[in-house]
Amino acid sequence: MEVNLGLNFCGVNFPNPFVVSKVPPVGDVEIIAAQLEAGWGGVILRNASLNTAAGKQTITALRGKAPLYRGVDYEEKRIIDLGWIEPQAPISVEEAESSIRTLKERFPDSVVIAGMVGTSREEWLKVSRRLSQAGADMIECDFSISNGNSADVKTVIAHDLKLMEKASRYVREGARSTPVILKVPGTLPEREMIVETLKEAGANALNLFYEPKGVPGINLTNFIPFPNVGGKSTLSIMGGAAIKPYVLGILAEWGIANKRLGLSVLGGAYNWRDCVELILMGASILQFHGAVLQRGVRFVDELKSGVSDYLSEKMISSVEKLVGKSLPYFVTEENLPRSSLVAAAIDEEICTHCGICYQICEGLGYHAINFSDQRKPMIDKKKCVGDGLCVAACPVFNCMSLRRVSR
Amino acid sequence: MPNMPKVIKGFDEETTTLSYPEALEEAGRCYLCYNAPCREALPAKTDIAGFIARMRSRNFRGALRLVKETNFFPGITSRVSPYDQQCEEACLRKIYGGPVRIAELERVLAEYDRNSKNPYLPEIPESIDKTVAIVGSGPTGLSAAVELVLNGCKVIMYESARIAGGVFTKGIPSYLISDEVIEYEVNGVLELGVDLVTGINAGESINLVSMKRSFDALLLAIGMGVPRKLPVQGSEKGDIFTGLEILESLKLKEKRLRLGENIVIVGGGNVSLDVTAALLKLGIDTVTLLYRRDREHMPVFKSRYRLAEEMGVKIKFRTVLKEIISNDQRTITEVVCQKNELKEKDDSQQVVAEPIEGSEFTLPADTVIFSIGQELDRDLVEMFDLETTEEGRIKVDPETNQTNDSFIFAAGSCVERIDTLVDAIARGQDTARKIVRKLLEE
Repeated sequence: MEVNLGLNFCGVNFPNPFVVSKVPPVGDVEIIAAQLEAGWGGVILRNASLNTAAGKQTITALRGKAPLYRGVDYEEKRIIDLGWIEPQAPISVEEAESSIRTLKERFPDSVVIAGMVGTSREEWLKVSRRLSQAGADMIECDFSISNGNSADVKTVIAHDLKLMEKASRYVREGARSTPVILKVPGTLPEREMIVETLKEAGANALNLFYEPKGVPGINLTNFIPFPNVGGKSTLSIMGGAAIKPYVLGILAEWGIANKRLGLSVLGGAYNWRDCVELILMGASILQFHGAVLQRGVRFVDELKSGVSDYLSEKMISSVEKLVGKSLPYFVTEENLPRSSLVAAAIDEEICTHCGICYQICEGLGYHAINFSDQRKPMIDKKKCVGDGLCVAACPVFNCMSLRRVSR
Repeated sequence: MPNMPKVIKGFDEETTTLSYPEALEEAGRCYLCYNAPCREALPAKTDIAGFIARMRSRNFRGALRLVKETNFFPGITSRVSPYDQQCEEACLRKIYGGPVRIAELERVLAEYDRNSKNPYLPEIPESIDKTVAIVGSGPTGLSAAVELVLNGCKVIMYESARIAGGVFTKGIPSYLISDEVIEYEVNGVLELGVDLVTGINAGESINLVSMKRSFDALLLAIGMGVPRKLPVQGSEKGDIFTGLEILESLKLKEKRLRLGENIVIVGGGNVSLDVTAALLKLGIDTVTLLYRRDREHMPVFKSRYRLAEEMGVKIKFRTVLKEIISNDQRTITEVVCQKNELKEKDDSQQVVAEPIEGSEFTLPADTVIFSIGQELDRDLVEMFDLETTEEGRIKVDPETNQTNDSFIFAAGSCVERIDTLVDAIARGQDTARKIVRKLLEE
């Protein structure tokens, strides 16, 4: 079955929902061209700012700031996650303009989103206007940076709704008819009010990200946390598999609160299954950073194949039809239907008789699994409350499940 | 032409060890089963799931400590013992991508320890003021020594050979395990404070009366030290060796051996296979192994058979040696063999081989190696007035491992049939516990 991975997001046609976000932190337009060449649906250029001197940033800008990245290992699994320190290095508007022109000329069907930051009326207006005039398909204004106006107290713009509203209006005005995405932390409270306010201020979409930073780990030999930058460390931005549950949660909450703005999400997807999950929870556009750094630009092939094969198998013609499909099944805790009864079941064909389900139910569960001398686990349906502990602990894929039982 | 002495240089170890990334990945495959069956299937009863769980969180030191609680010689056993027929055979993961490679993981830990600047040394408890003498420093004796020391006993160990280790040092070809690994793990026992006296035949040097005066107990772990030879016609002259002699020679860095080009090995055990594989590795092409029954009756490890097979061993099954024929210069020229027929015994599952009349045939040969098992060294047994079993082993009370002289304990292959090193180690540990229990009762 022919499936369509393309979708329309705020009036812009994306060949697919996979967008590379600002990779690598420093680099020339050819690196970004290679990403579009590889088949990503779009790219987001690094934030442009008036306060950056014209002229291309070179790789030497990173010298002395590195390392930027640190993989997060868990037992035998290498890199389940990636933490990084983002070099605070916006590009000049001139560089952004030149990149937009080059990319749009060579890849007219791919989406070029121009990133920008601003800390004043002048900057918000001027940068957005120039990016729009250069031919950007969309403009993403990053509100996750500090408001540089006050030297003592630095507020992240996104944490001040009034400031965000003001900035949004200027960006809207500067961008004219170009759709505007606002990059805001998904962890913000009062989501309904933010959506209303920013929609009124002229925004078309939100790009949500998981704001809390983390520490990828500590070197147990010298006690220096990772990444070790000249003997010291600091908080890292976290991405990848470990934050997927949080990103899904953020999306669920915004998906319910928001009916008016398009939703994009940054981070949390490390394979096509993650992508489908994020889309089902309401994201139309998926932005990738760490996963591209780790897997390279050809990673998009896996994503495209995974999602389109999934759609074919499900007989769904277009990825657009998946957006938000899981939201109706998501309610607040007090609204959960607490009347259905489930109990654990074991697929005896594939059970290895390892006894882990028994051990865990006997230890911290409700003693609902019997384990014979022949190592055969048996569920005691009278005692099983269906808490799912055994299903979570079973090491064999799809061996245990919860089945509905009659009262 | 008589056989020319060949200069033989020792083999380099061919056993490899997993890298840490490979080991972590393999450890990740373990389900950490409840009441894991691998543990029961390994005679040493090592907490395998326990040590693998520790490896997974990269606590290699803790993992090694756990292994050493039940097996003080993981570097040796993980190279030589047939884990694939024991714990790995029992692994529940085997239906999904094969069993967890337990021997490989244990070997990683042993190598980790051997390369560590701060190797593991267990804590020695307060003395219980008992001294035990052990005769024999093979796997059983060494592992008993460890257990006794870790229970607060003082241990004096007597070894008739030049160095400690018994079958560890004599009986395993170097391509399976290097001398360095053996030396490291055997020395680990001595570092616990065990006094070792080598080059001494305990019974001759110290009599039982003075032993009883100086020690609280005596443990015999003397193994089956005397290799058997078939009393066939012609077996008193020419180049005739035992399998153990050959293996022992091959352990030396340089040795002159009068080996010919047409070698016949009699016997179908692990030692025969090891000797065969070693000779083939030396470049001797014509090695024929005679075994009286069939492949499935050979008391051998699968991995060792596979190795010998890969080396190109020729086995004549259902065949016995009848006569060795030599010329006037006492040089063997050929051997006379006879075919067997196999008959199942009614009352047991044993298969009996009976020679077929008139089935004799000859094989060209210039060297004969007997590898048909060993028997007990009778000297000590007679000197100590010990009772023996029909099988020709020392008789002990299975509950206590005491001989007819309650001062003397015995363990290992001098008492019962022992198939693997891990078995021998487990018997040593077990008997040491029995000795401690008895000493504390007194």
